[in-house]
Amino acid sequence: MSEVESTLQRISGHKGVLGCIVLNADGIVLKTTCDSDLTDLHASLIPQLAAMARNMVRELDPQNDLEFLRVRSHKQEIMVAPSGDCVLIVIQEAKGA
Amino acid sequence: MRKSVLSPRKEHDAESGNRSSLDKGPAQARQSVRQSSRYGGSRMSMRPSAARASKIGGRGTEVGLVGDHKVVDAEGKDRTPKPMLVFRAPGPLKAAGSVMGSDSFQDTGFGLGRMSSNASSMMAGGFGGRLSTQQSMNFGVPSLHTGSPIANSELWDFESESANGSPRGSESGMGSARGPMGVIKEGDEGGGRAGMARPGAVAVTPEALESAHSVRLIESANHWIWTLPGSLVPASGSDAASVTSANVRYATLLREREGNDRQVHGEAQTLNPLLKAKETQTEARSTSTAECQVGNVELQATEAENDGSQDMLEASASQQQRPMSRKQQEGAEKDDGFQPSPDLTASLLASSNFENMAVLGNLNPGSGLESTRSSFAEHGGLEHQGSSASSLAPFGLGRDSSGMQGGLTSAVVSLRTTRDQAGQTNPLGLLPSLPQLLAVMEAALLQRTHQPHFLAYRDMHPLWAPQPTQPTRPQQLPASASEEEDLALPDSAAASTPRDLSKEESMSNTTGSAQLRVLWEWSSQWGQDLATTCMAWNKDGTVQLHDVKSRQAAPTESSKVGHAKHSEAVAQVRWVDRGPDHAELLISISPDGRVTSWSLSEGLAYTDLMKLRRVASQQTPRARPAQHAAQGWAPHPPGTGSKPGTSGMKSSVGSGRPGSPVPAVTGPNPRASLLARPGSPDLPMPSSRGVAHGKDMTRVASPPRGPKPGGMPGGRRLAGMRADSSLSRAASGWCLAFNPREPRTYLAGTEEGLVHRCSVTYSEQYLSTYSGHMGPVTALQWCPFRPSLFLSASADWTLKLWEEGQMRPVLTMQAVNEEVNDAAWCPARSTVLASATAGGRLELWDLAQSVVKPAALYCAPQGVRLACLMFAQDAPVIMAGMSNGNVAVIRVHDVYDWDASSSSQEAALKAALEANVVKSPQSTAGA
Repeated sequence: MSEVESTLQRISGHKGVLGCIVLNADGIVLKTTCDSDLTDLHASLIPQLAAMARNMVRELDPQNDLEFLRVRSHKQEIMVAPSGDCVLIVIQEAKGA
Repeated sequence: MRKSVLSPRKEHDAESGNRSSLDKGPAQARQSVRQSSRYGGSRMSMRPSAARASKIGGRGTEVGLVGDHKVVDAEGKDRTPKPMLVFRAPGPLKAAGSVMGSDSFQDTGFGLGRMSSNASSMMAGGFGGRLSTQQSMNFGVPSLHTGSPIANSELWDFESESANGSPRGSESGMGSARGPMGVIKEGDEGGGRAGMARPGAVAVTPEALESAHSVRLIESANHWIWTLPGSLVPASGSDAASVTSANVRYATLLREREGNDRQVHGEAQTLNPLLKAKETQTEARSTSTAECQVGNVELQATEAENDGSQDMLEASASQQQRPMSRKQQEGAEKDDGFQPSPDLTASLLASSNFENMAVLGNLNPGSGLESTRSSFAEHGGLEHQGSSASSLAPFGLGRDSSGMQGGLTSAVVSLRTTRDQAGQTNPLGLLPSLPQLLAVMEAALLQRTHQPHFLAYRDMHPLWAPQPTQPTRPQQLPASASEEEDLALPDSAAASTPRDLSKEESMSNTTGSAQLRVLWEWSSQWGQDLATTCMAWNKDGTVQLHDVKSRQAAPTESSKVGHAKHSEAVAQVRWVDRGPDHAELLISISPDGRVTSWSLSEGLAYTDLMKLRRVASQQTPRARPAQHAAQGWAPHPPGTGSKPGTSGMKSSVGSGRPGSPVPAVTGPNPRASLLARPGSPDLPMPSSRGVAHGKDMTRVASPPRGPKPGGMPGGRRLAGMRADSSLSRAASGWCLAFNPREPRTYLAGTEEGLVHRCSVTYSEQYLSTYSGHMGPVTALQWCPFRPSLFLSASADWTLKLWEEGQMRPVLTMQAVNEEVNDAAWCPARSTVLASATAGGRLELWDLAQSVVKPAALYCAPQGVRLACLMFAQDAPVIMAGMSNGNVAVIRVHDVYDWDASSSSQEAALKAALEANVVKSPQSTAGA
């Protein structure tokens, strides 16, 4: 547990990281390091996208599965790591490090 | 109605007439026909006369041949057929028509029948004109055939009448009419009449039968009961032409009716069902809809889960939970599969809102939804379904949950509560895959962070980053000493916090040929507390072997025990590759003067290869033999001759032994894949040598005992050798170099500034000694392109190139007055070498360009010393170890030349050397 926490702290402390959100399978926000409205926005939109991406991957090859998803925009880069029971979202500045 | 022209129409009525006539009495009919035919031709009368039943012999007589015959049945009853036509004594005969009129209908019928049956033979006579219009009627009327005896009789009656012309003619006529019937009885014409007066009372005598009788047929008048105008028109008639044309027109119309534009097909409904409208009212049903998207993948996944979670559901419901064919449920056409059950409404949440989840799915088989709903429930479980619990599919129950059948709600509630409870107590701990996700995410973050550096390393522009500006001027950036990074050091266990790395420095190069650019700097935990990056485990002279792959903190092997360890810090460790047949040798050199080889056969066994001894200066012609008993180590036959190592000697430096741990670490392990072989002078790990430990900074900081700042124009100084000749006869070795082409000899550089060439096998004496340096030799390396050339760097601020066999350096290079801590050849360019100075300068020398000043330069941040450097073998990069614990990765531009063959490299080097060496004797180089 503490390792998870420490890793989360480390990630959110990384340079350029705007926020780190952990959602459970139902889209409920479990943990977030950014403000709540931004969190809610992301939590409502990103699981859909991840699901669609996963669908696409699985349809291309049923043995395959989605591992990581990155959406890079002008201002941010959103990295999504979905899995069966949770979704991890990290938002970082586009310039990054 | 169509009228045909004179085409007789045969009616079936004639048949009926036939039938009726047959009923009368076939025998009589035939007879009459026969007779009429016999006599009819000439004697036929013009007037049709009604037929009367010929009664020969009255009532009882049959109408037949025998007039007086009676038919009596067995009982004696009189069964003689009575004539159908009752003869009544008529008045004076009138026209046939009137007679006809008084007759019964029945008679006329017969008359008509007769008429018709007489057929064309009679008609053809004069009747044609008159009868034309009535012809059809005649035929249409059920009529008797001529065979009816009645007609004949009537005819006969009239005939007889007319013939006689007497009022009595009727009777007589009758009689005569019956004559033919009763002809049999009388032979003459008049004979029959008498018999006629009394019907039935005719005596038929055989004579009468034999006699011939004449019969005259007359026709009775026609009574028209019903007239059906015929549709036949005679061709010669007046309106035949019009009829014909009309017929033709009609036929044409019929033909053209198909497809004619003027024809319109219409339909009409003739029967309207009765409609009755009724209105009812029901209570509005509350419904709500939701959507979700499900792909093929999720269907399969949830189906698989569902099959596994059968025990969780009711048995009956579980059967129906088998999902329907995927095609029905694929895509967004969810609602098609729904049959809104009156009992159940479930509200599905919009995909964006995942709250109020409740589990639906288990439905009573009684409800209409069953499989569709249940399977939809599964699929509505959306994406992240991993556990069987989730396969029950979060759904929101509608308000009509009361209408839901089946005992599911309890299960629903229980599931929900457990979830909530679990969620609240330990939100993150409930997720088993979260650590892995975190690791992936961290790696991605770091990857993103370092991607520009990676790309720059490979001369690629980083993605989406501003293009690197042209290097203009060197910038001094503050050292990021405080930053750390999760560097995968061999023994670092805990990951250090990731820090930012810097700071690209780009330098301008005046000459423009080579450039140095710092890509990034690494720092690690290990070096953080130490001013140097040397590893502590060599501080006390032990040689330790660490397995990089095992990532253990403890060394694999250690020479701590016993006397094996060096009494001083280990200056340098080298692995010697002796070829594929033999294992690698680990040779260490230390300021305690021992050159030791370590073998890994049993633990870590050591073998002293050499004990470095001080060499007497040239001024002392006596060469002190080495006094030690070193164990010989002879894997190879001593092939190298031993030369008295008393070449030009100079010892300017004292033993320099006391307590100067100048630990150096090259921690490689044979098992590490990055291990540097001695053949390649590059070490996998940047190590700093010559830079003292933190507590020994004073030592390094102190000016070397080398040449005085004033330089040594050429004199040689004698150290106080004599003073310590007896006590400390071991020279402190600082560096070691093995020639890859000649593994049996090696070079050892001492603190005295001497470079000894020693043999592996012969440990007594040096093979040769190169003297020239006035300070401790800090680095030695054989040139990779020229086997007889080696480079030495010294703390006397100089780099020297030596040719094997020549006791004088070929070339000396000095840029600044800073002691050179490390030097190395460039593996890809024969004329390029680099040196790292204690002043923080990394100099790139290109012999082809200039030997006076370096071709490129990199200055470390202020106050940072460069302890060591290393060329990368396959990348144009130099790694430099800094005193602040960082490792700088410096990109070298336009220096590496991979394509040039070795021969060209050699030639280049040779040319460079010759170009320079020619000059060197003139300049006061070296010494």
